[in-house]
Amino acid sequence: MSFITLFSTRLPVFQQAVKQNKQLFLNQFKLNSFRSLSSQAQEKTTYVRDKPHLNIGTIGHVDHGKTTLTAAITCVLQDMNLAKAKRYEDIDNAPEEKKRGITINATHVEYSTANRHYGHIDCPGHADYIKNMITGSSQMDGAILVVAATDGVMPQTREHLRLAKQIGIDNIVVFINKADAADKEMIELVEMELKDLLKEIGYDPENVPFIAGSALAALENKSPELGKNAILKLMETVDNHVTIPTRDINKPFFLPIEHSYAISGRGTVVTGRVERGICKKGDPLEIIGYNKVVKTTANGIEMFHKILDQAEAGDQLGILLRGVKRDDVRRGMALIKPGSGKIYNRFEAKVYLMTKDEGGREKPLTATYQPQLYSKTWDIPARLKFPQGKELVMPGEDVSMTFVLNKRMMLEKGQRFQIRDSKTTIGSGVIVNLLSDVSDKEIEEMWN
Amino acid sequence: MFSNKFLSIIKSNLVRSFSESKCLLQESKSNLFKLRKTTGYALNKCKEALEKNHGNVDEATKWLNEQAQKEGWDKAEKVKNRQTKQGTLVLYADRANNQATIVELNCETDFVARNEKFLDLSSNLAKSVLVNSNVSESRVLLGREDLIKLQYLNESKTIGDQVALSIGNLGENMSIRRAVIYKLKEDQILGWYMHGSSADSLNNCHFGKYGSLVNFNMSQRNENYKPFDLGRQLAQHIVGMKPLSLGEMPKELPTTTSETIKIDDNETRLLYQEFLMKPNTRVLDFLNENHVLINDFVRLECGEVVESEETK
Repeated sequence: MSFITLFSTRLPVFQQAVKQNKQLFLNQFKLNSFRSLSSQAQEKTTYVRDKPHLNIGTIGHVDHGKTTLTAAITCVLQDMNLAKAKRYEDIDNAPEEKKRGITINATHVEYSTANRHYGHIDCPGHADYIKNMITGSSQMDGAILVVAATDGVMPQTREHLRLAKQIGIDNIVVFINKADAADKEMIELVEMELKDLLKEIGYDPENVPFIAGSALAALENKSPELGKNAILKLMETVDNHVTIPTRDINKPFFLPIEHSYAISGRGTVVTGRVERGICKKGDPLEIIGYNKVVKTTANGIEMFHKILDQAEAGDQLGILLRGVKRDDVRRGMALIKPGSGKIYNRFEAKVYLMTKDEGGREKPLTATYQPQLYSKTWDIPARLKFPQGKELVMPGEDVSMTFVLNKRMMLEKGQRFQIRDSKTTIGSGVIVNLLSDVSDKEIEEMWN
Repeated sequence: MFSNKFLSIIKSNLVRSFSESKCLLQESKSNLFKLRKTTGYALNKCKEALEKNHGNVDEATKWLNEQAQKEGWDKAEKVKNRQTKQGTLVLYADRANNQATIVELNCETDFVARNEKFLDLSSNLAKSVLVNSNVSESRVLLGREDLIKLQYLNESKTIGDQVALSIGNLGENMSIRRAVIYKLKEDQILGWYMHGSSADSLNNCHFGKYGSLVNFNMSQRNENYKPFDLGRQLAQHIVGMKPLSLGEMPKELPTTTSETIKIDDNETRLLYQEFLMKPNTRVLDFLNENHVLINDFVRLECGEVVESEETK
């Protein structure tokens, strides 16, 4: 008897349910698509996924022309049938701008270049951005820093750039705006100032392209050199300079384990959704987490009752593992390409504590708080340590802190997690730094 | 014909201005750079200043500073209707004279609220308020109208002037909203806490979104706590647990401490709340243990809606 039939007989009910759900889902889908075809055909066009999509934002001081530049980009690109022009008022009065304080999730401006599709994010507030970075919504892949040549670097220029560095935006393109109201000398000086500032904040100024122009001229169709052509040059630079994030499928294999089943005589099957990479039958693998590292091999892959040659990012499937004991593997561990991940029990994270309105706590956190952390498929008790001089964290606040986990788990920079009370989620976090392990003895002391 | 002639005029003009500017460029560039670096005013203003003062940097600086106040008021007038919901609280405590103040300064975005120039301004405002307000009562609340008339540090201008000047420099609308001042008697002890994003302080001031002051007495010397630390803990509790009133001390205290007292999570009277630093203990029990009597406290939150202001 093959493991596959065994595997499936273990889950007959599950399979049945899937089948039924599938049918239901199909019907629903048909109904929905029929409906949308009949009623929405005139209003909504289909998004064609023919170019890689990136999110980009404009940052810079108030009145330096962020919104004008955004309008100019859409206007110039519309002439080439790559965007729908937005007027300044449309962008400035968008509902997202109005309800300040609420996380900006939706991008309301989009445009394409010859090679790419861009979603455009605007910059309402520092705290909103930090919150987005922590919770993982509306990530910017790159930013256009707008500086008016008539003013030079202003307070918000500095703070926006600091923020960009903090939330991990590596690709910056500078647009020196209002070049029509300044002379060459002023533009040169602004460039110098910006290079100093970029260096101070931790960017390599030699690696940041500068384009001078006038967004207003582009919008009003005047002096094409500083107007339209400068915008085109800017977008060409953005195309070349802002790198596309690596697609998940091209990364090393990683599957967070949801369940494990022992199949007598054959071995152990683990199930879950492949988060990254690919895995072929016969590939060597590693199971890591809960202080353990176990070597194994993929003996077979199965999805929806069928044998697969290859598991790919996005697949929900089961993998039969060679030579793994039942006790070696449990939910929450990671199945990875050997050596592509490591286990840790101590890390520094940036954390956002939700307000009561967002479903969080009303009372502040003190250092004695003992949370349960949830990430991927694991949850584990943790202890926390505030930075020096910090004794409490108020709801609605973001803060850096160090966590110690009860067991060593696979952790990565940029990994997100939830902080939970006994009943509710009280906050989210993102791992900023992985730190050296705390010894087992110390762990024991912390938990007693 | 016409267009040709026209072009040649443009050309000759261009060439002339180009060669002229090239000669001047080296010298004026360093001046402009110097002026911008030392004064921090907008580039086009610096340029204008140099042009008006024939390239003399000292004269230009003087002119800029004179201009700045006027420009500040102009800018302040232009942006006065923009909402200022962000900003900072700033706490300045003068331990030697047993007095302290918390001032709220608002601006438009939280980007500017984090900027050093903004924090520097707010710290100087707090000092001005505490030194120049001349109040005699132990607790005074001042609103915007009173505050903008106060003298700024020991200079010959008002707080209102200085705020307007900064509006010109920072490019955002700002307003000083309110201040609370505590001036205590000799036997009273001042406790304070400012909940900031970090422990940084500037000009001996502390910045943050939540702050509190507490006025208390200690009838006995205490082995466990120094008055300063005790005051800080109480003030921290006030920031964290948001009590609305002090509440009255019960006439009789429970004789046994082993008796478990039920604490309501929604309690808004300070004395009856669970002490943040000591779970399962009421604030009043903690106070009794340490022979402390609270006279008064105040809690401020940056940008909070205050009822009395709303009804206005």
